Amino acid sequence: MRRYEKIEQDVARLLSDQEVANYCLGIVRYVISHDEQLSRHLTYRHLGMILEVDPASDALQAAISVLCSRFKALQLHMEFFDDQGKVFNLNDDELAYFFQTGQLTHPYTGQNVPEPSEHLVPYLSASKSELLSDN
Amino acid sequence: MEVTWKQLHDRARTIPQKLCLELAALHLTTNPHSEFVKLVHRGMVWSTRELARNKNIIEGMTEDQLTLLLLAPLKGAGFAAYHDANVGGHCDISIEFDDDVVWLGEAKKHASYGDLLGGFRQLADRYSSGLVGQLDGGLVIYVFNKNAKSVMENWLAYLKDNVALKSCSFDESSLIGLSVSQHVGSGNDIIVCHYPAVLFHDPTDVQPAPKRKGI
Repeated sequence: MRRYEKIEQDVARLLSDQEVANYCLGIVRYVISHDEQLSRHLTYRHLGMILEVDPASDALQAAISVLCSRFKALQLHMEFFDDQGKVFNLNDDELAYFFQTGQLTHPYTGQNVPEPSEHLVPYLSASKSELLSDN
Repeated sequence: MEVTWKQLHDRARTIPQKLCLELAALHLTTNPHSEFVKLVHRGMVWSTRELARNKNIIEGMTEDQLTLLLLAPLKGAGFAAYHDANVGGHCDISIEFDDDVVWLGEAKKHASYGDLLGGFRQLADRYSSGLVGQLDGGLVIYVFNKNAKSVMENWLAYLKDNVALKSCSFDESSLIGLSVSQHVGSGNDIIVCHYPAVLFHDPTDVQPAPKRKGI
């Protein structure tokens, strides 16, 4: 059985909420049926468009949450947009520091960023080859 | 426009919505396993309080029905929460983080302290492997009696008398207890939170008003 098939099976077993289950399946099917590169950077807006749902809806959040935490099919990352509109990809250590302290240091200037969460855009990544691999 | 982390946070007003966001970002924390246990605890506290808030409509429900109701908001928050999964037996509640980390729970309608002890022993000795990743759990006590505070105090005193606990504490404001005992099989410490769902429901406003003396 391939990994995505096991996830589909477990989603059906776990989730009684059909809407959340459908979004989980929709995300997994999108990843396995598109080019690997397209799933390296999926913003909430992208997912909202793919699934035709409000990107901040509770059901989509729950689907993302269960795919990230239990099934490890998605991984959350963040990009930092500074006041000049420059974009920086933050590594896991920088994000761990943000989650621990609520503070963020500008990756280029080293200065503390006021209201960091306003400058952080979350996105998700998934690996098509992993999902297609044998479980 | 892309959605910022602040916008997602501002939209998350309820505890399950907040937990949902934090769960998605769990792997970015310095210790995902211990953060997971903290999130489950917050979820259980919220969920037992929600049950209490709905005590007028859950009278007469079975233990299984109550537990399904208890787990619904946790599932909605994105927890992989199962009822009656096979984990060394049919454990009432199992909340999986990954293949190695599972939070285990037993849920009991309070009828006697002996029954609760049975539930505790199932949780601590039967279901938990005693290995790292299965050392945190909870005993949910559906209290339909009056004075849940006294029930919890008496239960923890009974537990202390019958199990060699390493420590036991009780928080008077939340009515939640915490016990640490040694897992018989592994020798590791097993930490159990004792959550009451306060479900006594006997509204006095619908009783006939007492007659005034002398009339």
